[in-house]
Amino acid sequence: MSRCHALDEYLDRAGLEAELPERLTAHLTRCEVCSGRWRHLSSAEAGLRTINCEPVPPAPSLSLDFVRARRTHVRPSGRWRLAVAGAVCLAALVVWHLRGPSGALVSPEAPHRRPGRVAVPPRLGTQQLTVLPGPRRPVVLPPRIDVAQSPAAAVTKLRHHPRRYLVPPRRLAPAGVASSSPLDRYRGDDFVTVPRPVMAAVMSPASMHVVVEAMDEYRRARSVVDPRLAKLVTPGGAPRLGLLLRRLSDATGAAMSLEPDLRPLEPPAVGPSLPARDLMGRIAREMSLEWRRSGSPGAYAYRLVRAPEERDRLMLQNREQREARVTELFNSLNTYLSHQDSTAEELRSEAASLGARHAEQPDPFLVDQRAILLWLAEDPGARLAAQLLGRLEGSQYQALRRGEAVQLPSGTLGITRDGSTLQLYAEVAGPDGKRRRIALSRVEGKTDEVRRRGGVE
Amino acid sequence: MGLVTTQVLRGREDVLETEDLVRRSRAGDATAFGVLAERHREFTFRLAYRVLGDYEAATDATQETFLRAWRSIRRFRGTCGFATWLHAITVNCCVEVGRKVTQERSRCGPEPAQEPAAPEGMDWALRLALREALSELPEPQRLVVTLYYFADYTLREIAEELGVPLPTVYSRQRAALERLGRRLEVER
Repeated sequence: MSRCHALDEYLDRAGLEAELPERLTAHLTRCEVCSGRWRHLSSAEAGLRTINCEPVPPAPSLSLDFVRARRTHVRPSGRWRLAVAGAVCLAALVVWHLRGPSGALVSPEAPHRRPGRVAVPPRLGTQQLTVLPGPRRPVVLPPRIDVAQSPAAAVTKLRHHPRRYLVPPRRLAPAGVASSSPLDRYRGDDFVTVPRPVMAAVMSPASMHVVVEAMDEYRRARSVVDPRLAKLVTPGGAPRLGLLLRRLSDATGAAMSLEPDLRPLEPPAVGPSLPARDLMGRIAREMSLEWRRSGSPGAYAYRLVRAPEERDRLMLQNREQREARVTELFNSLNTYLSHQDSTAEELRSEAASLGARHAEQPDPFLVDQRAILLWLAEDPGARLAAQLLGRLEGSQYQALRRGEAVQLPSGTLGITRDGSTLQLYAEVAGPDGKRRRIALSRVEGKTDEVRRRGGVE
Repeated sequence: MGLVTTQVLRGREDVLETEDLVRRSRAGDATAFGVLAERHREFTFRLAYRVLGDYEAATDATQETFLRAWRSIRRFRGTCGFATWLHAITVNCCVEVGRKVTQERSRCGPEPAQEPAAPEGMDWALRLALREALSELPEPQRLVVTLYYFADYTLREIAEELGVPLPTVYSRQRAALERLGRRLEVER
């Protein structure tokens, strides 16, 4: 029987949703194969649509323990179970092999079993197996010692105990200093701040070495004792920190410096003379500063810096003050903005009114306002600058606050900073065509020290 | 779980996107999956009921669908939408549950009292035959048919969701309908 694919080809290209073209409809009347296929398609589609019209009862609520289902799911499958069972058998074999006739657990490298081999210390980061050459020794407990009664005797007794529960004290004083030196009481120059190592690494066999080396280096730096700082220093009432450090440096021979803004600070009051290290410790402690050490043994240099927290606090304070000054600066522009479109006559009239009010009730603010109005009245450039301010859009205003110069068609507005002094200026073209800079407002130093000034710089 | 789901749904249903919930579920957050399940519960049950035509069987298939989805959510790569992925699981679950139901019926005989009333024309035996034929379709064809006729997807949407060309969907639909039609003709 020959198969006709006319209907299939069309439906595979156009889909069942499309209307059958006339030529295919005509073909269906002639082709028995295609008409039978079309009948099947139609009846199946009708059946499915009938099913889809059946009313559906409301869905039941779900009562599924998903967590338990996940746990069930992660249970090892058949292959994994086999692997796990194999691993357990292997482990049991190893344990059986390691157990000697006496039943004691020994490592393969134990001397009594393999006398020719030397026990190799375990690699860093691996678990150390207990190596017992023979039958287990009884555990020797440390003696009961009443430390409160006699601390010195207690320490001596513990040091001579066979298990050595105490590590012998490490000598901290540098070479050349007698062990009986008072320096022995220091566990390093603790007034010097040694930053702890900060590390970020993916855990790997190598990273453990890096961590250990860094911590060793940190401990070495912490335990440094500079013998030069044991010398007695006489501060002599130094009025400034810079001067005190110079005296310290002269007395000890150690190079000392400090951040420039710390120089004028007043140092803490101290006694007539004391060891340099004690004085340095007090400076750091009482002034919330930090000593940093650099250089090599015997030639260490010291620098006094602000603690990071203090530095952050000052930065925040400075930023807040700067913001407050900018706000103050813009607040001072209200006079300009309210008269930006006034004519010279109107400004003069307003100034005369202010003068009269000042005569009735003296007020410095009225004097300032009058001066600005007169200046605006007399100087067309100043009026133009005020108009520039009035034309600022929101984004331009924000840019100006950030300290950026704003270019406008008739001039430029900007803020200059000189230390803590802020100056708002406008650059406009004068009648002669030359550009000139007009100072509009200035804020100096602290926010309460605001001076308004009119005039041309 | 139901309690947690209810609590989570309150206030968060509109906030959390499906993608976010799927991501959390893949990370093992059962609560997030509970929200997903609650969102798709009605639709999944409707699809299962359409395919199976039996309340109990559809309930079982719905439960099984969500359990299976939770177990394999980590393997869901997002190549199709979550709903489509869930519908594919639903259809497969329906096939399995349908086979069990058929086996039960063959052992115990049909229960005329439970026959749902046909809304028009088609009798129960034909609908049963159609559903059985549906479960015997190859999976790609079955998915296209169920999504189109029972889940109200358009053919273009099915093609996009399954990531196959539109003519492929046409041919799968045509082949599936042809097989179903032949089976219906035999039953008649």
